[in-house]
Amino acid sequence: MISILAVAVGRIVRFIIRIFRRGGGSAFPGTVASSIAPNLLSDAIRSARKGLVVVSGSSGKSSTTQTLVALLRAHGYKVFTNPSTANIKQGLYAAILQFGDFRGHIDADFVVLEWDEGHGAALVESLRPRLAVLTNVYSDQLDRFIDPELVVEKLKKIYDFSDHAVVNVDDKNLTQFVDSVKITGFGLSPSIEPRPSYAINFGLEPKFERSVQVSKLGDRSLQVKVPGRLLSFETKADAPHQALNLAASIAAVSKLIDPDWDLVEKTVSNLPPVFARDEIASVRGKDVRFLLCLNPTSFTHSLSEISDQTSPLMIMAGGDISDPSWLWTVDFSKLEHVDVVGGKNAYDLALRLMYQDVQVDKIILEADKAADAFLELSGPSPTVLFTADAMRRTRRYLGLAK
Amino acid sequence: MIRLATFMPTYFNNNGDQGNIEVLAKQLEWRGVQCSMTSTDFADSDFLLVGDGSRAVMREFESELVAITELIAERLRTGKATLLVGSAHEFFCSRLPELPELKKTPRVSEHREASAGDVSVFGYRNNEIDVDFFLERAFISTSLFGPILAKNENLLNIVLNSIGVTSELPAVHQSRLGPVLQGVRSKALGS
Repeated sequence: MISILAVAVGRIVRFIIRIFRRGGGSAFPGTVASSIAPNLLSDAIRSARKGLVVVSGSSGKSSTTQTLVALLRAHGYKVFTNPSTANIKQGLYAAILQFGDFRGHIDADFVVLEWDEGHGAALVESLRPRLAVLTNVYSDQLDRFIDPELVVEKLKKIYDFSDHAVVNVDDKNLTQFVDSVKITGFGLSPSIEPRPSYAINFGLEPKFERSVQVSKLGDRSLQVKVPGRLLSFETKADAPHQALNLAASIAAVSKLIDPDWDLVEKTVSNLPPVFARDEIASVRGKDVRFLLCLNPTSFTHSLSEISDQTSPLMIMAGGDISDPSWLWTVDFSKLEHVDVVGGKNAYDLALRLMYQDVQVDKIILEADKAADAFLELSGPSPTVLFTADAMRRTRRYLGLAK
Repeated sequence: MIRLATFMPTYFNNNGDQGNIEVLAKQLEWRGVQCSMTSTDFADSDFLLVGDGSRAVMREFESELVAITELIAERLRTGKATLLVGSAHEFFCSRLPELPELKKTPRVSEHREASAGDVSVFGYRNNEIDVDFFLERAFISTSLFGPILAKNENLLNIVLNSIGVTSELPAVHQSRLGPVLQGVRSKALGS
């Protein structure tokens, strides 16, 4: 009864919010529902026939989750998941409101959730995942997590309360707390360079087998070795960190089901990018390239993906950055100019750019005005790099949000 | 030739603190003043930066930090241009009696203004200590992360004057940076 009430009230709140903000309102209705029925999430997850799978770590959660969900669905399984980046507790409740029935129950074989490290650690004891996918630990979001060692503690808790784990065995921040009998390892072939810069760790480097190994990458293709077979994929996501996300998904699907590898190859090659993970969308008659930059690693990668002659170019630093100091760890020096610097932290970003002698034409804090100014500009390769908050606001304003 | 030094920049750069060295180098370049940079020879440097390091970094390089403690003490005594940030601020405050004794407080993560004497600066703090900013001539020890010299023109000028730079920043750069600095301050402090 209490669940029915929570779902009803949460949906009404969601409906009202979305009247005023198209594409918005994902977290607050979840907060309302969880305060009425705290067990709504755990009850919904228990109703899934084959259990809960969670994906957590500093980076790569959305892409790994999306690929894993697509692979399971391609094999005929019903999967319940949370929308990309709605990975905190309130977002998970909101997903139940959106996709569950009137009691908050879901019709699914698997529940596959992208989990924020902090919120996931708080939920894991009660939800007990069947499988945890642990991607990596970066020196990231220090304004929130203080120190990478505290992220390791949270991921270890998720590991401890999960039946099995798929783990990036190239990252010793993870391998230092896992046990070989409880994990399926994935990673890059030792010959692949450069390797991601995981959080600094001077401890021992325990060695684990890579059951799933990225053996070749680049030139819009990837090769991934699984036991007894070499899989080949055509994909734009051919950077090392993106290849690792794919390897994580493949390792997870091989642990959950007996996969048809031909179907895996076909599904991944046809997968659309997660919104703004290097996606081209048509906006006001222009093909605009969107690249989401969540942290120094993805900012650096996105910059490497664009030409120094990209025009027009807008870079946005949104309100999701509490302390924009980390922008000073990103090297923007390849750029000669940026047409529009936008988002709530636009001035901090502009200051960083100016100290690298990058010319900044316009600084506009409001996402809607920044987008309008950008779209008025002509040029052969309209491109936007933005952080998550700026992405959400811009996407909503441009009518790209569902 | 101005000599800028930074201690283990790869490791002591938790929150973009090495940006402070970039700021000084660029300010000197814009003024037409030559400079060199080193991460090994600190003794005769005009400016020395020790940035914030993670817990793992602080454990690993504790003996190296201990080894430069006397050098830091000497720079403090002479007021030589020095910037200690975050965990380096805490490390040396716990070892040098001339620096403030830090007390533990509940963690506060926010942009804030801090002052020493009549010098007021702002930046982002995210720790559990009670002293955010210490200044003795051009010796700075602070919990305010990131490019504090980029954000605080007054502090930057104290450092530049201390290392003997007297030339003005060319107007073209002043006019570019001025409104941006105002915007950074307004956003951080809401004023």
